[in-house]
Amino acid sequence: MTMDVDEKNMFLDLSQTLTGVRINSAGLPPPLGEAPRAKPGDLAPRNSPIDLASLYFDTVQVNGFGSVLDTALKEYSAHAVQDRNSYVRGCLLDPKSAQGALFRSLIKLWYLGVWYPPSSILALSPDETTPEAKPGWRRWRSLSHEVVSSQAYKEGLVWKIMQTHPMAYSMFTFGYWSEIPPPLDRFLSTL
Amino acid sequence: MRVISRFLLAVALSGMTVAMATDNREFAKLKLSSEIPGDFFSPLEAAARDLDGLQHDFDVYSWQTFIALNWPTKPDGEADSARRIGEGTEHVSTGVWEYWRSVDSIFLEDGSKPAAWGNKGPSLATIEEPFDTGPLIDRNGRYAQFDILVNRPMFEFIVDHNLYFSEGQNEFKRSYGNIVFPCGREKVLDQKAQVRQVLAVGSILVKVAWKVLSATEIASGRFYTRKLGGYSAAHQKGGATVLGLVGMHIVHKSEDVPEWNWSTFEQVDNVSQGGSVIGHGAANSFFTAAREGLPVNTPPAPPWDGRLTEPEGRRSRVVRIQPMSEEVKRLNAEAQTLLRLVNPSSVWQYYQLISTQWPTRPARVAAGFGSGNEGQAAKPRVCDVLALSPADIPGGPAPLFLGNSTLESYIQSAVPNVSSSCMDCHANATSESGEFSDFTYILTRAKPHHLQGAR
Repeated sequence: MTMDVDEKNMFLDLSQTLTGVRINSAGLPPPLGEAPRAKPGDLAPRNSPIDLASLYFDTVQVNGFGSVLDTALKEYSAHAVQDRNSYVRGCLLDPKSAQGALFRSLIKLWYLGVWYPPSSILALSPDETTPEAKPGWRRWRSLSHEVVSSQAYKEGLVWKIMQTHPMAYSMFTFGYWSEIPPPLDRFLSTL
Repeated sequence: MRVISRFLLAVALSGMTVAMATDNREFAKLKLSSEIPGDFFSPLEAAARDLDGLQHDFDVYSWQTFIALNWPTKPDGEADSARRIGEGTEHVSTGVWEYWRSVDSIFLEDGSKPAAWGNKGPSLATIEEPFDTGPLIDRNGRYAQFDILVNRPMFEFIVDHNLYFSEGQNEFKRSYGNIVFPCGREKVLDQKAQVRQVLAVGSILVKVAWKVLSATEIASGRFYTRKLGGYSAAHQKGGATVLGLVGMHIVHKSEDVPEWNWSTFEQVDNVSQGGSVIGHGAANSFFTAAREGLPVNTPPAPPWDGRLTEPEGRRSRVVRIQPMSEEVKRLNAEAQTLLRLVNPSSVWQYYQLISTQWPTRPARVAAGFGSGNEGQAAKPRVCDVLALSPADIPGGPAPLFLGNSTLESYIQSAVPNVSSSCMDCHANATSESGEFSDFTYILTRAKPHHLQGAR
């Protein structure tokens, strides 16, 4: 279940569209003569020993949604670059779209490091997909989900977006709580 | 993982080097030199650097530092460039780092000012591994001993800034701002030819682990040895005791790597290289095959007494959880070959680099200072990780986890912030006043001076 380079690039491109976080801040022009910058929240920072893209791609495969992802990547890449956002939005807004369901799972995967199976979401009507929606909230709670890995949890985008850190791991120093957090652009690069 | 296809062995008596080449890529070359490198060096341009190539170059940096630190010295403790590492028939010599200051001679019980550099004083080795995770007991039932030492730039920074006592640390922030230890730096004269000039040696800290050697182990010539005389008599059990070096961390701060470069070396007989008990035998110093049902990587229950010879059931069963990479094994073989060329009986051929941990998101790059090798005038700000990269103090360590079987025996695994990862752990280090202490925990050893009256 290894991706080839083109497949990985397209998966990252799709992930960038879904999350709003840049694949790599190298996409931003670095200062003249300087090396590309990398930030902890980028989807695929240069020279990182943590390869979340491959991990998340494999997670989709082992959970039986490889064909849905394959279709999604083909459809996504078939669109012109300027139309890919619209394609993704259309899928997300269509409650019957398998791709849209998978996209929601991928967003959660990148942000939380947790895999929520799209099949379970598809089985519910849209108004039952939140814990607040009754009476389906019990079903929502029972959906199986898993933290993909300790690194996935630690690197979840949600922590960077909130300019904070996950419980039990911090990239700040002791006493950070008495200081104003660094600005968002020190954590990640957004589209 | 990229495969390094071949090695080029180029040997010359005036400058023995081993070059590594593949796919027209350039890598840092290893050489035997008494000069402590001033900074990390990679001959690759920034855009061409990748994870594996950088790891190799950091590993070369580690070996260069290890070689220079263990170089024979002149009486004043400076490296004797007229000699070569491991030369001669004696296995006992005195390396550069042994003239450095043990933390016990810096942070005194009464918080008073430590003696000036050059007055080393006795080292008080402890039998507990760093972070109080427990003692390490070898296959002969003897306790390993541990010490932490710092070089002169680091020592003088501590003394000059009153960081050796608690009240001085409390005043530091108001007087000086962030705690920023001195960085090493160097100037690259010819990148392709890898010619560099050291401008300054930065702060260096070493943690060392020793084991008490048996007569057989002494005769083996496989250990860098030291008589126990310099250590606390509390650990001595009558007669002359000879210690053998079994573990060594080297932590080195430089402008390119203000997060410090984290190297760890071991004597090759410590444990086997696998991640299981298979393959362990009587030859391993810290794995006893006796009592097979006992757990591995678990410290013996208290009480602990370094003067005792413990029975078999209390001896350590340590295995390496994170295996060494094939590439570092190849680099070790190169280094050991070079060391044997000096002396076929050199003890240093029996030491190996486990790995080097380094920042994949270095603070200076995050802050736009570039990737180094400029050799410009000293820029103190480039050494201040807290100022440069406050949202990412560890800087994305690679490899993710790193431990020494003698210094982190009981915290090896792969759980973030729990298992041994030098940079993730030391990013939490503070002074006595709770300020970020630039990746070192030694400042918490400071004692109040007021207990002994006003200064």
